[in-house]
Amino acid sequence: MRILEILAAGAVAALLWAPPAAAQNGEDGEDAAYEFFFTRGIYSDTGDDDWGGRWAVDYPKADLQFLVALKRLSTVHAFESDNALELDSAELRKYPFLYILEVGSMKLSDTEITGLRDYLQAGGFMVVDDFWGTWAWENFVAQMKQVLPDRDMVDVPMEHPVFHAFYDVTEILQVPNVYQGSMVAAGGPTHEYDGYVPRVRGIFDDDGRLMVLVNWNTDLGDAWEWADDPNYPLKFSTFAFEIGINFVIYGMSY
Amino acid sequence: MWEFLFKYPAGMFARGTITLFGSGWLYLAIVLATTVAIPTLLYYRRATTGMGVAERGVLSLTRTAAVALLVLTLFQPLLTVTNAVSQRTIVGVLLDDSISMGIADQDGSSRAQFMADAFHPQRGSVTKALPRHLEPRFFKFASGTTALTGASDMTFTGPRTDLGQALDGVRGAIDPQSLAALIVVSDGAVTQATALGEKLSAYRAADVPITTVAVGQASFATDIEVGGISMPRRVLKDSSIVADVLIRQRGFDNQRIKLLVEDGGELIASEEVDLSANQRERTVTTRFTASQPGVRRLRFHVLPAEGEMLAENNARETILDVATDRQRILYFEGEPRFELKFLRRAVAKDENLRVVSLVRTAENKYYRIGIDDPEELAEGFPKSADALFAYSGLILGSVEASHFSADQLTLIADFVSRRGGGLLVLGGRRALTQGGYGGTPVADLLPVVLNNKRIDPILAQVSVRPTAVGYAHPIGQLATTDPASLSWEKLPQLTVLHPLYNTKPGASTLLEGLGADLDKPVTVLAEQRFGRGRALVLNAQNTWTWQMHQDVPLADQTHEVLWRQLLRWLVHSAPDGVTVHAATEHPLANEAVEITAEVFDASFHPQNNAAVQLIVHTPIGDRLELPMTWDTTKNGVYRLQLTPEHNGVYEMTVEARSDKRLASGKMQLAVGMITPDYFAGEMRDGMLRQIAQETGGRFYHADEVNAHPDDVADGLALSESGVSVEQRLPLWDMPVVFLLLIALLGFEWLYRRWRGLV
Repeated sequence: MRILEILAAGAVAALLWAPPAAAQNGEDGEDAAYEFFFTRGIYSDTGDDDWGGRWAVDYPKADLQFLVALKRLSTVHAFESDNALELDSAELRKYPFLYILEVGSMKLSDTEITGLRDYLQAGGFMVVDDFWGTWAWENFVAQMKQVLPDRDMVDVPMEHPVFHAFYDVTEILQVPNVYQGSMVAAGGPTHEYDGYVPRVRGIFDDDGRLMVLVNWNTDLGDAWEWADDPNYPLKFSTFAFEIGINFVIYGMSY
Repeated sequence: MWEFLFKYPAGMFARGTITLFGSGWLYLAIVLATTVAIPTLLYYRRATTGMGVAERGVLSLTRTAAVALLVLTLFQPLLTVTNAVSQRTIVGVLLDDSISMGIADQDGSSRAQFMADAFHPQRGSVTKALPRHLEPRFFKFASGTTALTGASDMTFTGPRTDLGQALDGVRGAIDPQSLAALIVVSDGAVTQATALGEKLSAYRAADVPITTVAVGQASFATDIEVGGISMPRRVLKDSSIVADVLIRQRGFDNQRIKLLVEDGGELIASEEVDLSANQRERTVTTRFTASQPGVRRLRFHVLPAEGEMLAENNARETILDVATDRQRILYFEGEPRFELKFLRRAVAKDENLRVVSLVRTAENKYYRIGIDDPEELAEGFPKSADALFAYSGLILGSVEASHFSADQLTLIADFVSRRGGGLLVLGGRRALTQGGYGGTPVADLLPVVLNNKRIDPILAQVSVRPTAVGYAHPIGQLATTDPASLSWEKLPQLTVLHPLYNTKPGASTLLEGLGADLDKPVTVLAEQRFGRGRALVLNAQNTWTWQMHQDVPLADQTHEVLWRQLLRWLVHSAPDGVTVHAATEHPLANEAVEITAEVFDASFHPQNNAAVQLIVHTPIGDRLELPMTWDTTKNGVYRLQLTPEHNGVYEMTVEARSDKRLASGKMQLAVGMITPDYFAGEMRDGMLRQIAQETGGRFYHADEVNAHPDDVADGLALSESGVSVEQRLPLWDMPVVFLLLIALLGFEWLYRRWRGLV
């Protein structure tokens, strides 16, 4: 099913691939009318599969469905469409919130490393999602060490504001992908590979603010994307929306 | 010559009246004489002893004039004049003993030397010329008045000149009934603002003329003076400070000088100043950062130039209280915005600012950041004065007016006008005109004119530039505050939604925006005072661009500096629950100073029932606790007379206790920090002229006194005040009468001889 997901993502990406969002969204002035853009990071990967960029998994449906929920449930004045940008784009720093996923196969170029580093150091906030198991973790850590060599990823405690900015999130659920989610009722597992325990980890700046929020061994994107699928368990999509909105509120406040 | 002919001075004739003193027999004699004179004249007319008509006429007129003169003397003409009585009249001599009398601008010698030459109690030229019946009593004055026992009492060290107090002092020392006149010798450089009107009225009522003598030059040939400093007395640490310094110059046209600012001997700012031709006064703006906490003594000075008349007025000191307390600012945002995030980041490390955030994340759902206790802002935006007035500043983000109740809108207005807090309204789709604030109490506060109708936003990208006012404003200081800041020209454009072009009278536009789609600059930042507080509008919604934009280097501090300065400015003048003032800005040691405290309750209403005490830390380390007394004529006002005994900084805290609440406020009193007389050193004769004019005295310049000391003495002798009587002085024996009579008779005799009539 994982393969299907990637296939779908690749197809969607091929269909929807378009110039970065800044161009999509028209003139700067129109951009400025909105406060929030759900910006998805486009990055280079290992290219081990032939299905296009891994950055585009769940894109753009997950983004759009999340935006619907965000606008419905909060006062965030969000642009209702997707907004994907390369990490080395000069436009990236117009959008202080960045979503990125499937980083297990991330392989950043030098310009991407610099672009992401500058973005984070300038005050950008990046949410990472949907990568599973030890090998993916190790790859991502290695990539981020190139971006922020002096910083480590640590567990984010449950009392951290990011879990309480909008909803009070008191436990971290493992959100399965769409296939496994539909099998949960039948007793199927929620994990992929050896990613048995979901983790929320982060990279903090010198002042204790989160620069990078890492959702490891979980797949919030699928829960957003398939929230309208009656086979996908409601509790996972509910949790994904709740914690996702928390991430946005936190990212716009700290 | 006059007195030889007429017996008395001309002035006495001018002031007196001439009367005739005749009696009944005299009039009878006159009638008889007339009876005799008429036949005599007729006899002359008929005489035929060879006299022609002309000869008879001349002789008749001459003889008649002689007879008339004799008759006039028989009437005993009198000069009636009111004059001082010998041995009972005192003339007060009030000599300026201030330090400015040491200035050597009186014909090459000092003003003090002139005073010694003319008004020495024994050897002075005017003193010696005084008539014997006048007794001079000498006093010296500066900030106080003392009777002079000898010339050596004059020290010329008084740092301040208080003529009003001196006039009172003379009246207290001399019985007004004995005081004939007062002479004041001064350079007119009065540096204590005691109202003179009442004092002069008292002299006028007692009919005591005041003669004034002005000493010194009205304008120095060459001098530079630091005339004044205008800057905040209290700022938060690390604030950018803009100080306006008044430079006065004489004789240094087209020259360049350097203004230096020192804090405890350390140079913190300097400005090159070009002195234009014929520009006698110039305000120089200098900028620096208050980086050292505590009470700072700042010295503004210009190095003395060659040939300057007075070097002591080249430096002026002032006190700056660099506070380290943390001002709480409530930032209410109607929706999550990155402006909140980056604003908070910009001031997060600022030890003097604490931004408490309230974000409406959904309808009736708020996210609170930075609160002190769980109850704070739990119900959303404060509904009571106590809750809102606990903050010094208030920022309203993108939140519509209809979110607030009418009472809350009024509360926001009261926050500024009554509490004295700072209000900052940010641009945003729910703010200002788009937010429906037109016609609300909040619109009244704002420096910009809001439309009552919602109008289309302009959604313009603008390049932000400071206006002339903004460039000289603390908020406009970016690179001067932090060299790592970008210049205005290099900053990325910001987004402006609101078509704000008009500011209110009295408001200042500090920043304006230039956009390709705009016909004229749009207001980006404006401010105005309102009531006790201030209100600002920042008509931009994404200043965070100056932090995040690709063109802004990571190390750039523009965004941080802007917000630090903006928020410091917002709250720097927000008063505490107690405000403290001193009646005198530059008091001297042993001068009484009235300390006034205004005490407010938690809602910032004046409070009359508080126990108020003044805690003073003196320059020598003493601690005094002095109760203050409620001024029953003014709500919330408490007063105390304090007489500082030492030069230096007195740190004063006023504590007001009422029920369980303790409010406090503080100020610093710099005693003896400057010598006021050096800063008004040029002779100022205007006031001296006015004193003489209003009291019926005379005004002299020192040069006139040197040339005619007798005139001054005579003027005093002719005073009508003091113990005075009406004198009737006989005029019949004036030499001029006899000389005229002899002349008439002699003429007649010579005429007769000439015409052969004898």
